[in-house]
Amino acid sequence: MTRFRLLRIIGPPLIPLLVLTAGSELLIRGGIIPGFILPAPSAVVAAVALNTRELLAALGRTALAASLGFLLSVAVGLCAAIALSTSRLVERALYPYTVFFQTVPIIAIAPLLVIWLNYGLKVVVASSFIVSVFPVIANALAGIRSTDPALLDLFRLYGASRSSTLLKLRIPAALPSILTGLRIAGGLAVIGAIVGEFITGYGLGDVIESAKTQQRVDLVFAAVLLASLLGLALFGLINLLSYLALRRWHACEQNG
Amino acid sequence: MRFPAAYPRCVLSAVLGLAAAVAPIAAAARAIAANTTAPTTPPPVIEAPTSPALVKVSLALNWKPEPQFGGFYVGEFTGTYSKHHLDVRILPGGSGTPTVQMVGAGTVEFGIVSADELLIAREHGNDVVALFATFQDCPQGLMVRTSRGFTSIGDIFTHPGTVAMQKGLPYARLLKRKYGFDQVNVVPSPGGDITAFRNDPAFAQQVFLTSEPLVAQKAGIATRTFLVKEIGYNPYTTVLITRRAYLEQNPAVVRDMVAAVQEGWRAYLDDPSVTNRLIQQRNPAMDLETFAASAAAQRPLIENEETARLGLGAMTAQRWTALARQLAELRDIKSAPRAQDCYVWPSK
Amino acid sequence: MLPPSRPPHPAQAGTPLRGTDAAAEGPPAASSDRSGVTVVIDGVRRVFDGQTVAVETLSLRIPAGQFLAILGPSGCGKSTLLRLIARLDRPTSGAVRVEDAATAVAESGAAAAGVGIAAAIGPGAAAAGPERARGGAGGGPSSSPAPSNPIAFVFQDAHLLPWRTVLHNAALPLELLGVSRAQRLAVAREELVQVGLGDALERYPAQLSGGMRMRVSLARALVTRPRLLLLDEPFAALDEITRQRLDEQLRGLYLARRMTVIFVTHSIPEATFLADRAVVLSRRPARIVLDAAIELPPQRTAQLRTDAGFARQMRALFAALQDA
Repeated sequence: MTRFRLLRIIGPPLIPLLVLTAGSELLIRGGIIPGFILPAPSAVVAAVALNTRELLAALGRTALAASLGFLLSVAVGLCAAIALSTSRLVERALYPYTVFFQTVPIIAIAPLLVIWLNYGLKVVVASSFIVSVFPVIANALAGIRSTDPALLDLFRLYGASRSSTLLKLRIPAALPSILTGLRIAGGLAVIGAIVGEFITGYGLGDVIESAKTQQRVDLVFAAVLLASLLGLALFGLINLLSYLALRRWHACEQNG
Repeated sequence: MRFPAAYPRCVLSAVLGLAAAVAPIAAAARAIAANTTAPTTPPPVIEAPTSPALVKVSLALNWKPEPQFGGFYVGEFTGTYSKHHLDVRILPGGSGTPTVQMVGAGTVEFGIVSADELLIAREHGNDVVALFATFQDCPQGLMVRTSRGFTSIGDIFTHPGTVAMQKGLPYARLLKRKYGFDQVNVVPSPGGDITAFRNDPAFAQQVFLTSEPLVAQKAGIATRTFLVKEIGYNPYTTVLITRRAYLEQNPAVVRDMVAAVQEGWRAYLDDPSVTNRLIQQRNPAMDLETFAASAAAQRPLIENEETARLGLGAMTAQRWTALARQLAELRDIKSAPRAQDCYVWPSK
Repeated sequence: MLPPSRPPHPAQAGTPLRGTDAAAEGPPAASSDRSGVTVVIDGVRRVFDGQTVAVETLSLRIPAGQFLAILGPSGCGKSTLLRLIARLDRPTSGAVRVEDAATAVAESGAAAAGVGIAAAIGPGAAAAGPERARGGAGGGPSSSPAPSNPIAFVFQDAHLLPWRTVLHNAALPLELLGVSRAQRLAVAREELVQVGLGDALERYPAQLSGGMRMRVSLARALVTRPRLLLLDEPFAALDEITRQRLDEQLRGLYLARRMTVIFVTHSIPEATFLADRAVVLSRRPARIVLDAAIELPPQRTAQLRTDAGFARQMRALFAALQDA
């Protein structure tokens, strides 16, 4: 890839970032936006530089918790979707309850989580899971349900068993939908992890909480920035996975 | 160098991006500042004769409506505020309401903070000043079960257990310095909720003397609360503040406000029952019995010889200086500011 | 080996109708080998949702080894009929029977249970497995190791699995029937070579043209050495040249294996080129409007399309279709 082509890809998204950063720096330095409400980008960078070890350690913990929560969502979500797809009756009976995961405010059930799981990583993983599982279920179920009816006919024609049809047709065919669900769940897993960390004192959430009570907005934003980057990284990872899994589904200009 | 057609589009997207980014930031700042809960049905107000020159101001509380704000609410119900030419809108808060930033940003004219919060805010360029210190003695402390047999606040940290507190707060860091946290598991403060406390006998929780211990008592748990005052940390609490700019531009309004608040607290200390009934409607989570007990428990912290001498809500330079020194030691502030810059209390 | 051809009748203009008996006979002597099955549609009626009558008490007998084309206006129920024959759908009343010369191979009626072909074949067929394998159409491809599955279906679109290579797509039916990996890949390879895709085995469907994908679909249908091949407008989405080429290829495969073929199409030229017999259905609810033999030599070459006799055959079908 030529240098120019690289620039054309990276350039456009960078420009709004640069403008925003420079703009807010000026506005805050100039006193138009008070620095105790919004930290100047330079202050945030300084906070990162001065607290690198603590922030990276916290980032690592949050990353671990979010990843575990995400993997749990994927595992449980896919199994739930498969179970729900077995019959319309089952789906109608149980699907509304999965929506509960989407809507329950974590803060409200936080004390319960702490009692069941004790303070620590488990609460964070549970929170991350609860917040991110629903998109996995919803998208996977939609994908499994929308299998090409002609292909279902084909499988029936040759007497394929239910499990055979599920494993060889419905699940692979649902892969694009499943990956869409994963993409959404990734970011949510990070958010859920941070919320869980507010409750149990862990990782970046703990840094944010602590910094907030000390009125260190620069540190708060530094932690928030890292959390966002974590979400972005997870998103990027899933996109890569999606590309690798689905690239043969779409026409490749090089071959054929 | 030739710029390809993509670049004008880049600039356009940058401009749009900036506009799109500033809007939500402004909205977010606004939302953070206006973080309030809507009050329930307002209780009947005894109307005072409406004077045409009532100044509309807002007062942001840093917790839910409870007896710790009793004196502030009296004015709303009995017309004390209107007597002092004020129309005060009280905005209840909750866990994490950023009152000091709300006042600093000008979203509200008055707010409630604790003294250490104010000093740290000033350190960060937020020019706010204290006007009235409700609690002469800080009601913050750590609550444990009586059954644990502790006799001092240090016992909590020298015996294994869980301690829930906002560890970023100065008092917590002082405790860490003094006793160390090796024996205990420090977790975030659940903010008013005693579920974990009920579930775990070895649980210690950050509380206000006037709140959670009484709720626990109602739930049948015998508790003992060790105030942070024990380790010599005693900031003024539930302090009424305003921006210096607002004070300089509206000295009469500020004066009226302090006078009204003082009157209100006098009335509340004399008889909290009527006001309690009306406040409780706004915070049904606590029942009237607990409201009464709370009001009783807080009296000795609000009224003492100093207030008898200097008036309710009085503040002295010595106390502010001492607090500033403690915070400077903790490195929350770089150097102790002049006490006179932090508060306003007209000497008699 | 080809059955003895019937002498071509010069079709007379204005007499489009031929007796059903002649058409129902089909190519003689073909029923003695097991290359095709007889399909009997007996008073079949299909009603949807208690209201829409898709097929109205239709009866039709298709002798083993015949190439039948079914024509009709859009939405007249051709596809429904085909699915009823394939056992993918059940008639509201009446029955579809797929018969071997020896035994009634499969029956599907309103009362019959089960859909899977494997169930319908029954133990007798499994025992006859080796026998079938040994026989096979004269000079055709090698025998299939699978328990012979009489029915195969080719859809309007190729409907390939995008995550599988061409080879594994073609091998799918054998995989579902439990054939070992080595065997099924070998058979699939053979069929793909037959349809001219020997070089594309490792490609993915996304890398193929529409015509190539349809050929894979065809190969997939043939891997089980079906004795009844059903095609539902398979080449409709392709361009004319590709379509004609595939028609020729299909006819060639048919002549080599002599399975019974039922081909649903919109296209009169295609029906005329491919089939020995054509049935025209009316608008919904489907009824038979015309049932005539196609009087053309069994070997259909590309030049045939421009023959006068070809045009005459088409005219008859055209007239019937207009009145449908």
